[in-house]
Amino acid sequence: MMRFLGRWLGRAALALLAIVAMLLSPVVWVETACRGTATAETYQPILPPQHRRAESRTLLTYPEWHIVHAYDDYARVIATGEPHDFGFFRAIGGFWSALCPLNRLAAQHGGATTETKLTIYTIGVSFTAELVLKAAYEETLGRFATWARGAVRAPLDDLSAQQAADYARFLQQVPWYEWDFAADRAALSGGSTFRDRERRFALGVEYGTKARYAKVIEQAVGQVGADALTIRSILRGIAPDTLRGIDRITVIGPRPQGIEIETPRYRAFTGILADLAAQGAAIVEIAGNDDILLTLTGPGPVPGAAYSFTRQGYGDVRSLMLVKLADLAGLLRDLPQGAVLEHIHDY
Amino acid sequence: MTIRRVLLALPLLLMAWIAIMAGVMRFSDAAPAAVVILPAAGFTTRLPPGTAIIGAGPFHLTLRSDTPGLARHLYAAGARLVLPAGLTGCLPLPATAAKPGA
Repeated sequence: MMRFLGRWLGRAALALLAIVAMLLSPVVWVETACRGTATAETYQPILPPQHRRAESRTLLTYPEWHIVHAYDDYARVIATGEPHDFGFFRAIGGFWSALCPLNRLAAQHGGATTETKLTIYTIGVSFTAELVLKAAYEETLGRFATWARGAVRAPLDDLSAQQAADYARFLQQVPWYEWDFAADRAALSGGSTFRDRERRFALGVEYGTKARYAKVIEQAVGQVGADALTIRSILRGIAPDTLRGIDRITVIGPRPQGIEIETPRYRAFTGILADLAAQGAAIVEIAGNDDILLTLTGPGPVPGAAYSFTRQGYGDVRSLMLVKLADLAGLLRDLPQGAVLEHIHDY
Repeated sequence: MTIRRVLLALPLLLMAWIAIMAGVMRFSDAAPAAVVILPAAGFTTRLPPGTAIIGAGPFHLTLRSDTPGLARHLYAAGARLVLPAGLTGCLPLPATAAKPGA
């Protein structure tokens, strides 16, 4: 009996090591095959040091957005399809494949701190583990449940698709751990078919786990000082009075190179820059930098993109573009044929 | 058979993820806080100096300290498993900034 137990424990330990190695292998790949060459920065910032932010951050905020986009893609797929129609491994591959060129570019734009890299790798490994778990379930028991259900969707298929869509929209502007997973779990009480009971079990376990984990994260993050919520930019080609009429822009004052303004960061920043470009403004500098990353969606890859890939559920292509700020407003005013601005990644 | 193997691998995948998270916590100070899983009785009396309890549940304690090497100190104090908490990167925003219109 002891020998039998020892043999199984040995096998389990080996399997555990293999899974750890599997989860860490993309990190090793990025660190070895995706290293860039450091380039001396020739741009002289206009804004004083207290209003500067590291330029490489524009590139390294994308991986987290990739995860937000993946939840949106998933919601889109299950709106009319089944969870197993979603390419879980394709989404995982997309995260690491996008990180590779971004890591190379980041090296040319000041590089990344160890802490930043650790954070990206940690969220990447967590995203990978979560999607592998979901794939393992949805491709086996989940798939069996849809087969047993037949072609007609169960009430909880539709409810869970709606929950996924609401969650994906929420993530655009609010941290994941503030989502009310407990309410989602409670809402799963309806439906009495086999598929409904199966969804209640599978999603109940997922929502319940996330609700508990979110509580712990919220406690921790609530005690930590927040990052800056605003960002300074320098513009020209637009009158101060016009700027004062635009919502969420604070005019700081004139400078020889243009007008200094302060705006909110994050999601709101994309809309503000698009508004400014539409009003004819030229963007001279943002937080001491002269390059910025933006994402466009459209019918095909945008020439010059650092990375492009097909979005699941939408069928179009997302392109990651690193552009000079001097070219940004012009690009926003005259997007490539069929392209739509998705997000401008601040620093 | 295949389904059974896949489902048997799931707990191992979870354990592998936990092991990696524990490794990140043990060898870096990237996370702003630490979660001690299944703290032993009396663990709170042995906390390293300058460590604040910022949350607690039936099976965990959430702790914060500005002293480097928090996980190392917590293991020395008798913690069984220390995981990172709030390793959230740039995207998850503080609530005040996040609410639409804020």
